[in-house]
Amino acid sequence: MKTLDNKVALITGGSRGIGAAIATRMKDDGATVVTADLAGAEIDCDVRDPTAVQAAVERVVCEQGRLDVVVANAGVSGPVAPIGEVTYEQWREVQSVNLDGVFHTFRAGSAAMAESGGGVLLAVASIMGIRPGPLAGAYSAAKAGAISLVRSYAIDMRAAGIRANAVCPGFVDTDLVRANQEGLEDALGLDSLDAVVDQIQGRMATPQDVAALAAFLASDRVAFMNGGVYTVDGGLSGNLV
Amino acid sequence: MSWLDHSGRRVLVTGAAGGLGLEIARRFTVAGASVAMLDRDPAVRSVADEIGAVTGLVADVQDNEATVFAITQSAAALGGIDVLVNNAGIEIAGPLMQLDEADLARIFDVNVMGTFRCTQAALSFLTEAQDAAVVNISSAAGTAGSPLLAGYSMAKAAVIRMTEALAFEMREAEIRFNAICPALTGPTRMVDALVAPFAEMGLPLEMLVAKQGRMGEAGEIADLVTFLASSDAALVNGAHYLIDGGLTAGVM
Repeated sequence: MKTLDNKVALITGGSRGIGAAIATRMKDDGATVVTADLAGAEIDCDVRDPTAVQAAVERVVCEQGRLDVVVANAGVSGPVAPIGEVTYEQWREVQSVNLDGVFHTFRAGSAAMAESGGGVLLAVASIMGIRPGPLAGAYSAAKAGAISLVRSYAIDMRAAGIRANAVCPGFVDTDLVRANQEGLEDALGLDSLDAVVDQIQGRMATPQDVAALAAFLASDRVAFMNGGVYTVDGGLSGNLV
Repeated sequence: MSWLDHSGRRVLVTGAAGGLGLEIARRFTVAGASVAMLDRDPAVRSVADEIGAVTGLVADVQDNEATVFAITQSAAALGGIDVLVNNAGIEIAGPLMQLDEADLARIFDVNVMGTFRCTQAALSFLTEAQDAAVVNISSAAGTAGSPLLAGYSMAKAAVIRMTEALAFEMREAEIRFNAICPALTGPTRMVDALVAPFAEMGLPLEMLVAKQGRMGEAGEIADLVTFLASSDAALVNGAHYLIDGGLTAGVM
């Protein structure tokens, strides 16, 4: 008996990075997993488009007969820039994926789950949704919004048997972080982001670190975990230094 | 090793004679760990036998000498300590201004200083262990003002701050520190003891339970402890994980 036996999970941004690791771990834990992404996943889906997200959810329910776990993971990093220099277009782009995308995913997913008695919503947010990271204002605001959405679902949908939680990683070794590494090192005058992360976080997180937490939260064994914000950051967000 | 498998792990649980502590000890034994149980209640010895723990030891965490002795004995019985669960705690319900200074001091002494004493006593063993982890039992009451439980709430907030700082300070020693923050979990003696005082003060416990959806169950709280103590949580450090049904998610 595995913790996610008989569960059907949909993961956005599931083709690589954290999303792909969550898919692997949830499969290992017994779930049937369907991934969605712009490309390279089982379902092509742009989370900025509510119709596309709705269609993805309907396809999972049609093909798998049910939906139990929805992971809103798709995200972009946005510009590396002081918040005052972020353009409206850049701001909108980050919000449309990282916040609107969670809204569309939770809305379609929760409606499908409510029909079968409930389920679990997970958002892959960030510790920057708790306290902003430098030069990442648009990203941080969107992640804070995603955390708030999680909490709203937690209190509004509990009666429908749906619970919602946020996973908040620190720095994770993914393409998304690596793509911004040079810009961040230059802007902050760092020799090496990795060295700083080692100091403040112990080590860089792996996608598997995040996936283990997500899979745990999806389990019915911890059904009392609802509306929580769960950090996986080596202690970074809990300290002043 | 997933969070369900703790075979080979040596686990010490305080406040383990009953309630949540007993359930935590039970889950670790079911997961294959060798478990030592500590409590001020001598019943801990027979309870340890019943659930197949290695040993049950009697000590009050308010007594540093007795605590150090019992934890050293636990380490000897287990062959070391990989996981420490600081669960021993007390509460006294009532308006803060009606609490005796001595009672408030006792709440702090058990919940905060007890956690400190046990951690310090276990530190040399944890330092020698692989993937060592400390899980402190805080409370949802440690994350927000909690009328009629103010002393307890203040102490549990202090436990979170201790957890965060130790996560950083002990990182080089490769010991992880995390806290959990459960809402009302029952049936336990602790929750039963709240019913009358809360009702007397016009705040029926049912109101709180409604806000958390239902009463928590000791088993699910214990599952969270076993997760945080496992390699699945290898980079979870200095965190306080809520398990409160949504009690603290919204404003009302």
